[in-house]
Amino acid sequence: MRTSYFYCYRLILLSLATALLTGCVSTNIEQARQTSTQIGEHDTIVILGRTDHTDKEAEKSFTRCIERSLVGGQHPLQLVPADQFIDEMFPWFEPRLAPTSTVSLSKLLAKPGVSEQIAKNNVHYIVWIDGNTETTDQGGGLSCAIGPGGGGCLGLTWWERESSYEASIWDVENVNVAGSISTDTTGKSYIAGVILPIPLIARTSAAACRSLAQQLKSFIIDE
Amino acid sequence: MNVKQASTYLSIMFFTLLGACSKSVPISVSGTTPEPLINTIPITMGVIYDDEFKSYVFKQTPEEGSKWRIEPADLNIEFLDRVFNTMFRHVSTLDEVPTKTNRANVQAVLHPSIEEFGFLTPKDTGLNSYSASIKYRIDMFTPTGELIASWPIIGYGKSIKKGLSAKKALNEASRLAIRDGAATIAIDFQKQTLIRNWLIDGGFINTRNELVSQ
Repeated sequence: MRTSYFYCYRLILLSLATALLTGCVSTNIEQARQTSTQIGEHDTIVILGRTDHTDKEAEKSFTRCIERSLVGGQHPLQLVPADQFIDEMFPWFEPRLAPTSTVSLSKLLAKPGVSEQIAKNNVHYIVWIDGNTETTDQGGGLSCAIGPGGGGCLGLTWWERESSYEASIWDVENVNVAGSISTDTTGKSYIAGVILPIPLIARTSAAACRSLAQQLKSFIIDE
Repeated sequence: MNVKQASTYLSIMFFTLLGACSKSVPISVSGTTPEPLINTIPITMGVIYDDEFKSYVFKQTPEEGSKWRIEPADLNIEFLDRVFNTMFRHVSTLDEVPTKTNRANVQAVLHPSIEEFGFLTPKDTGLNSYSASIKYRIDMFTPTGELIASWPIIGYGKSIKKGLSAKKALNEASRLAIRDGAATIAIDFQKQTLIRNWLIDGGFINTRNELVSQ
């Protein structure tokens, strides 16, 4: 009995801590469908981050998060890992050679060995992820001090982050753009110094990943 | 202790202290080399990796912070070997550029060299990434050593610093630069006008850049 009370108490504390430490996040998601989609039993999908040698590109951690979300949960999808796909297609999906439109994809598929390699992996859809997460604003101030009698922090610092990503879904079998999904997630994080520093972190990237992956899954299985 | 012994001890102490002040961070660039998905041209190609190429080391001493010593040679050779072995039906490694009197038993010879290597850190650019670039020059010779073509190739690589140490990020950027360079060599070889003409004249490809079966 004593043990169950202890677990219950810990659970309440954990929930409170999670609620306290999570900042507010708002997500806006938009979808544009151009063709109907369907996925066969053996069909696979590739999630690729658009890289263009600029500083702003989809982080690898974000595309991996999308991959993890798509292979789990209800209606899991089969994926070909991005690194494996890029290696198998070398050099055609390298940053400066990767197709930027379905017209260039169609030209690429005509090259020797390319369509065979795609067919070998049963790739039905390629999803290009573009976008990034950045800090849009910040302010406030927090100072901490420590002395012989103890220490503490006082003040409030905050920053606003925006995670904007777009997923463009290419139907490789029919060589067309099936549609696109975009997500815009903003959130304000705070660290309040009331003797102890109390962080309230708005995880915009994680929220954007969750919403984009969920929408992507229902888009592809055409729910 | 005589003067000679004292000066020896002082020299050892001086160089030990100097070494401690200017720590050099070596990066032996490593990574996997995928097999290219490209056509094989039905020729026997000689390839020369000279000593300068095999032992290329890039050193950079910034005004402050660690010295960098980047050793891309092993991965360079691994990548180029993989690309050349797919691009050509047979590849033969040669020691030097052939001459009229020392004719090579191949149909042509490639001699890659590194002209430049460089990198930028987030401190240099204010960006959130490390970037590296490598500039190769590829000279192509006839079996008797006459130059057919010479063209530069630039490979570029970038690695986001998030979650990576400077050493790992620079290794990743250098690896990607070599990979990009190798990809460009594989794709651009047949696009070089002089090489394209040589391949057409030799009956290896037709004017539509299609391989002629031999």
